[in-house]
Amino acid sequence: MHKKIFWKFFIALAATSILLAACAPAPSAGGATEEEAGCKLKIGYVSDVGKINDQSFNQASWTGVQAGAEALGLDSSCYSFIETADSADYETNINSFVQEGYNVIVTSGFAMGQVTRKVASENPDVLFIGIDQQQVNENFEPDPYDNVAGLNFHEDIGGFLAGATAGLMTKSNVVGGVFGCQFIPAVARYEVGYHNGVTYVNPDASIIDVYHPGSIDQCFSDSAFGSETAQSFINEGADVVYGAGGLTANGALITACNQGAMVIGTDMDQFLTLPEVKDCILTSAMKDIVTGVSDLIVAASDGTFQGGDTYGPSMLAPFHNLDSQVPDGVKTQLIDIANKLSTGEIDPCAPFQDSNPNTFCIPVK
Amino acid sequence: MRLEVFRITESEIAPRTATGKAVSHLSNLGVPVFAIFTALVVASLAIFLSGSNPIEAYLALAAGAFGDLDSLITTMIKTIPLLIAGLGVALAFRGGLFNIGVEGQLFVGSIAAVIVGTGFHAPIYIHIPVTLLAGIFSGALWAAIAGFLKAKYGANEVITTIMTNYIAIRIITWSIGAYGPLRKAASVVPETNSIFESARLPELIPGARLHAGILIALLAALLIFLLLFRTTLGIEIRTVGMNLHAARYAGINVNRTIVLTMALSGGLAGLAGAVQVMGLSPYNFTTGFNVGYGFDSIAVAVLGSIHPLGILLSSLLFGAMDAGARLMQLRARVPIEIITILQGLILMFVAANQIIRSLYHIRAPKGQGEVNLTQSWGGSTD
Amino acid sequence: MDVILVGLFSLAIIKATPLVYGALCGILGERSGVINIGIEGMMLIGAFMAFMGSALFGKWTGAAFSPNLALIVGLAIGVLSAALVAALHAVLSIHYKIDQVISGTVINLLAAGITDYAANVYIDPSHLSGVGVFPEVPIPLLSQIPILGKIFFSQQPMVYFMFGLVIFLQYAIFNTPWGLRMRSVGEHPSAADTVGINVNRTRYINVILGGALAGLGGAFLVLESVGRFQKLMTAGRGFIALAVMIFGRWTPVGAFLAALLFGFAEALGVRLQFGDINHLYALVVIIAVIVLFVGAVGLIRSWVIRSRSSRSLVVNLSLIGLGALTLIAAKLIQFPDMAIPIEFLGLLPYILTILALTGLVRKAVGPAAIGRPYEKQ
Repeated sequence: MHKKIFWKFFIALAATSILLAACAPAPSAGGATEEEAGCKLKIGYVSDVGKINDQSFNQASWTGVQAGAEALGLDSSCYSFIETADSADYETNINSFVQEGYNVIVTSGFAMGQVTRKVASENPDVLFIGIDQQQVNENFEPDPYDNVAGLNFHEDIGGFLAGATAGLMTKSNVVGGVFGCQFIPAVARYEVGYHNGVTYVNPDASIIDVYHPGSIDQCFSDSAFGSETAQSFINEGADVVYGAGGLTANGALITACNQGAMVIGTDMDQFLTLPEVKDCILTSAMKDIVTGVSDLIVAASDGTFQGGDTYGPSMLAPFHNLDSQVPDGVKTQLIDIANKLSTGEIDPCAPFQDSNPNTFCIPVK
Repeated sequence: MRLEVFRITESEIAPRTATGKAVSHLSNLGVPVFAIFTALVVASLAIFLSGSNPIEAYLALAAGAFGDLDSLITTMIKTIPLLIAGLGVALAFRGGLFNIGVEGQLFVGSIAAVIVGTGFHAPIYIHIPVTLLAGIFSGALWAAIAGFLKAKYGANEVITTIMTNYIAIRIITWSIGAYGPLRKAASVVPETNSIFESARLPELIPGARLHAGILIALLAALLIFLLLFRTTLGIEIRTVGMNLHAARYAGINVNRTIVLTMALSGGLAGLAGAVQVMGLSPYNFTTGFNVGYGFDSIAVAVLGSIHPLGILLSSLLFGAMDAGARLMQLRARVPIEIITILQGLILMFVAANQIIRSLYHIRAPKGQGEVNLTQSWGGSTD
Repeated sequence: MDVILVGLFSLAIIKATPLVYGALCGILGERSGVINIGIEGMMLIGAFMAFMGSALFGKWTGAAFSPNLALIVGLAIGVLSAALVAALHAVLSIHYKIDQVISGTVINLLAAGITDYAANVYIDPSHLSGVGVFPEVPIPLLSQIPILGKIFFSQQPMVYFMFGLVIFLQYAIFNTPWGLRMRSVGEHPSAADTVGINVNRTRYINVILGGALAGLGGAFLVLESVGRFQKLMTAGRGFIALAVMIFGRWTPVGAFLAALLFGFAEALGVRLQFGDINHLYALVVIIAVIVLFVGAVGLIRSWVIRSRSSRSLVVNLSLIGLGALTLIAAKLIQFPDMAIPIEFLGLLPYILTILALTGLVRKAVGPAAIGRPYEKQ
């Protein structure tokens, strides 16, 4: 071994890394103690299997955490995230935050519901916010804990409004929908609601709904599948395409848009998150996770935090660029439908032939 | 076709005649160490670009993997499936077969364990072995399909295992999904029932999550070592893997060996899946469970020089990185993709050890056994 | 029925295109003796860089040029980057002689890690927008042919390019000196060396060219399909391409047909979800067509090759008869309305591929010297 040359390399490499380390902006909890003192609240976020920046569900949750932290004026070293790679890790990931002394832990996704409750019962001093997690026990009876708030949404209402919009706006009387995993209840609620919404305003319209048939690692992330499916919708004459299901749906929206169809997005106002479709997106079936999470974080800070289920508003995003193309009659009709939905006069989740049974809808009233 | 990864080679495994060899092997342990070091330095560039501090990130990574007892246990838990499935991939490679289907076989093993583990009540000393065997046999059967198709029709196992992967994963997704027969009643989550307590692997330290799966994994490593290098079947598998013509000429039943190799490989994958279900709370199968172990185990197997001892080390390395990733994200806010990049770089530098050798001026050793990972791929089948 | 068929086949071709590009990448490499399981990674890098190239060009130049120019720039950058990644594969496996499977695995890991990472750190925060996709270009006259015109001649440019490439490579590999050299390097490198062919140079060129083709496949996903880079958007297509290549017996036309079968089966799985076709009816028809096809292929084979091992005339004729009868029966029978779970519909391509491998394709034998680095004697 040529020791000399080896040491030269070693020193050079070590120097490089130290240099990199020194240059690095240090926003993070490097010098732990004094920074920790500056955090009146430490917020941890555990994502579901899937990426934080999926431009949809997980991203909305994380954006909500950031918004809440900013509202409290927290330094960026006071909140952090763990992306879950394997559902077997849920508990380990949540516990990591507990062990690191975090006070508020946000977990996103219905699949983490029971684990979140379990860790919460072991750590009564820590507050938990569970997105899409109904606070029920194993027999589906309401069973709120003081330190867990479940932030839920009526996706069926959002889907119904999207469907009503599609049904009212279609000229060809063919509308399509591309959905992610059919075994995820929130997705199923969107689909069933969408179907019912179209039928409610336009019983003659033919509705083409397609789910991605793959497993969890594919069905939300296969944008090419979404794109190809949207293409086939267009071939069938569809002129409004709704997409609910992460990147799979995004692919469908962009392609449908490029092919001249109008599209409807999901979860966030996708006019803002998916710039490719800004000239053909009618609206989005919003599920305002960002505000919901942010509000709960603020509540955790000022002591008004309450355990149990809360329901965020389900609504449509603004029409943005297509506002002029939506007739006033349609707008008033949609407002009327929204009112009926909020009073429970319309059941957005009514099952129909071969409808997905996986919805687990909660009636409004 | 040189595989000089941990430099654990045929010559070392064979009864050692020249004692001097052991020394030269020891000095070669430096190569992977330097390879990992180099990979860390290169990856630190990416961490730096993301606005985080590389040293802080690596300290968090190390703390998350080995920092305290809990982290250490997480590392070991992560190592278990990688070790068992990695052995499966390696066994197939030894037999000249490329089993890309480990992911699917692992799923099949998990589901079989769920079916048997929830199917009946039995005393623990019966239920655990039976559940394990169910995982092994179902994985073996599933993989044997690819082996049979290869032996009978010459259907390339790379295609058939990719296809059977998708088939297995999608049927299982269906079986726990909205319409599925294995779906736990009254659950929002697509998941199966938890297996009965009599089928759960006992915890080694009560309350510390570490389950007996680690012993099973170590035992599997030992058995595979013995199988490969101490039994006639092992010799047959390796002969078929090294040279099909020679194997035929030597009177080995090549077709039978191919099916058997695939079955053994799939059996290990199935065992990995069963152990995951039987060892980890809440002891059931759910969507998002086990995703990616099948493909990681390929990297683990080749990094481990497709030798049981090497795989022991490489699975520990990968397990540690998977475990440490939590704290690396939490403390240093480094995206989890860095782990993937790091794993790729380590694999590259360990495999292309000439780069490392020339970088650090480590002398190359003389004479090592060669292992061909891809014997069956091309025309040499006939 | 026409509409459905046209829709199915157009969708099948769109789904097949990236697979064909990926398979061609594999063919070029493996015909010269270098295994490439890194197709997935190369496609991913191609997709990522094609997006970055087109989107950044579009952003920096504003609306000064037509979006098509941005797309072409993106295409070039995507193809070049994938070729660069392939060059890494070549250096690792030819120069450093590391195992080609390992080298491919390295490429897959690095590509997934780097593109995910870059998307997180750069694309998402900056809200970088794609610049659209290549438009459909119907070919005059040809696109007027009923049914076929709509399927084959009303596509986007990269689909036509794929058609051309398949035909060109099929000719080039088997009928030109270039192809002969490539194949001899893959089959018998030492013999090739003795007649003065530079084995390693040939391999370098082929692997890098192949990488460029994989880059085309990835770029197709961004520039003609989705219009935007999404994380891990290749979603296993590189591995399917590998299967398609072997299924097509390492020939471009074979790979094209295999990819088409695959794309068709997948398209069918999607199409059956539309709910206007009876699932059972569709399955019976598909099975009948396959039986018919197997019989016909057997008949032709025994006719042309006169090989003794092929099935007897009676078997083939009865297969054809059975298929035809089933088809007629399917028309007459009223099938019960039954929805097959979508996961099973999605299985069609995989099951069909396995069936086809056992029934239609005899032993698929790759180049002899594959996987082994060449060392001069």
